[in-house]
Amino acid sequence: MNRKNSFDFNKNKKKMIIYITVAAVAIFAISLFSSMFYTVSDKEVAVLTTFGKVTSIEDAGIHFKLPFGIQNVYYAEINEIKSIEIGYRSRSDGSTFSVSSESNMITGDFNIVSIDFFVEYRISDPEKYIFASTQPEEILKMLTQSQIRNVIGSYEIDPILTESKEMIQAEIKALVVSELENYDIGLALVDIKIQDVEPPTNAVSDAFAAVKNADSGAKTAVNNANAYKNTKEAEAAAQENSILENAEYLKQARINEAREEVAMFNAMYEEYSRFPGITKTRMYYECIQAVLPDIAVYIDTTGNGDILKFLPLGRTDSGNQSGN
Amino acid sequence: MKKFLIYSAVVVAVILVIALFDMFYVVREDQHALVVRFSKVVKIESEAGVYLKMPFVDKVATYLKSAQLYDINPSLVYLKDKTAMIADSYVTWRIIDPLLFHTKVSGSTYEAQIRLDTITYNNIKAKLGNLNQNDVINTDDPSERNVIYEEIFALVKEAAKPYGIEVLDVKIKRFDLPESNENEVFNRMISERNQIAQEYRAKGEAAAAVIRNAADRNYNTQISNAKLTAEEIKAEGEAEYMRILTAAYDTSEKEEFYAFIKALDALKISLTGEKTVILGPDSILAQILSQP
Repeated sequence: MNRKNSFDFNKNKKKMIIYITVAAVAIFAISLFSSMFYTVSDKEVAVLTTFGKVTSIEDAGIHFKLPFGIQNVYYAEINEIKSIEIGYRSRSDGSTFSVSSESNMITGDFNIVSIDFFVEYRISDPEKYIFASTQPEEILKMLTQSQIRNVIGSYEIDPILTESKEMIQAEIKALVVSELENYDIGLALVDIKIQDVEPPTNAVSDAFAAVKNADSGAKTAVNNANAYKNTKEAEAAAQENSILENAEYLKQARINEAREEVAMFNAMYEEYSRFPGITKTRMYYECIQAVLPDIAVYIDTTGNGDILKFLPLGRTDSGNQSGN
Repeated sequence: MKKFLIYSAVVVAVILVIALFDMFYVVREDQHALVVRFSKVVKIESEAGVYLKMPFVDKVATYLKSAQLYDINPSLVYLKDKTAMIADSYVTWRIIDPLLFHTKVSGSTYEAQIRLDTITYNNIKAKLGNLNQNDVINTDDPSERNVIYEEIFALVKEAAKPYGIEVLDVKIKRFDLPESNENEVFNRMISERNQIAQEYRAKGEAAAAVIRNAADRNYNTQISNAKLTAEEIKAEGEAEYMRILTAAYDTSEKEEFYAFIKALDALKISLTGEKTVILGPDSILAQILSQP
């Protein structure tokens, strides 16, 4: 029994060893086999080295390589436009936060401005990108930061905040491109854009906003004055017209007055010329009759101031006869 | 005995296999390799490839051939005009002479960075100490700063040579005022803006006043002119009035009758109201009244 058991045990043990060996060899073979192939996606290329030396550059697809570190593969995403944020960082939820040590800088007229940049670049030479430097992206970022300060440090704050953005971008780009060529680290600058530019602190920002307000306030004042001017012009035109029209009326009225008078005179004269003496007398007494009721009349009989008072004639409302 | 032979053979075989592997070393594209035999450098390989060496005896030290970035900590520097600025610089460098690098800084990147730090700081300090703030911060051509950096770079490059290091570039990536001075600048900026705002307001008010004054003047002038014209028109009427009347009394009889009518009119007007008349004794009216 004991012997049989031990025999079985030995038999099992042998079997186990065989299984384990087979499994180990199989795993080794599979991993070896899989390590002999590598895939390249279509946004990258692979740089293949054989004993450390670059022997080929492979495009997208599945490729063969020798195992045991004889051949090694390095990847470079040459078809991808990569980006660097300067002065701010994006969070995964899309919001951003400011990095003031990067964004705050001095301008050519000794002011401070907060300015963010978005830099786009691509790998122009995969071999150099992998071997020419240890941190190509960091090098590009620092170079760009340095050239940004060169350019911003030569501009005054007002054009930076307003109309010179395009020029600033172009100047920084030109400087970075020319320096990057000397660096020769397999990167090419695609574009550099001002993401955001503003005064450095809230207090300064408010002061800048106040200037804008003052400017629009000044424009409003001028607009109001122009409105006043327009009103005044219309008023003057109306008033002038009224004065002139009134004058024309008065002129015509005066002329009409003359014509009425002449017409009346002519009518009276025609009557008068028939019996001049009688008419004259009648007109005289009609006139006296009209005025006498209101008058106190004194007659100086002596002619030397010894006056006899005559009565004032009773006041009647006669006198509807015209004295004309 | 036989067993011993087998064991020995196995051991020798293993040693041979290990030795076989240890005979080769690989140099990558971005590496220098130094073959060191009993602490003595016997061979330098700077080309990528596979090379032979003595197994067990030779040790291989590899150094990076590629450009490395060293970001130097920001430092306070004083300019010629005693103004302080923060210079935050970086150096790109590479090992060009691995033997020198191996011996002078014991092949340590850290050690190399310490040297670079000192060299760069000293040269930046020396160069900027000869410049006024105006020479650095001005509205001239932005590439002029690169000329300053170029000079610093040339000096640093020369000074790093003894360590087997080739400096590829030195630039100041952040060149600003110390934080303590920033508030001053902010306050100045605010006061400048206030001044500009005040100026805008004053100019706006002045411009508005000019427009209003001109509007008032034009208004008054126009009205005054209109009044003048109106008087002229009325004068024309008056002239016409007189012309018509004069033309109407063209004979001496008409003239006499006209005078009579006007006299009666005048009398009527002068005697309207409660008045007193004193008649002389010769007056026809008085005679009629006193002797009926």
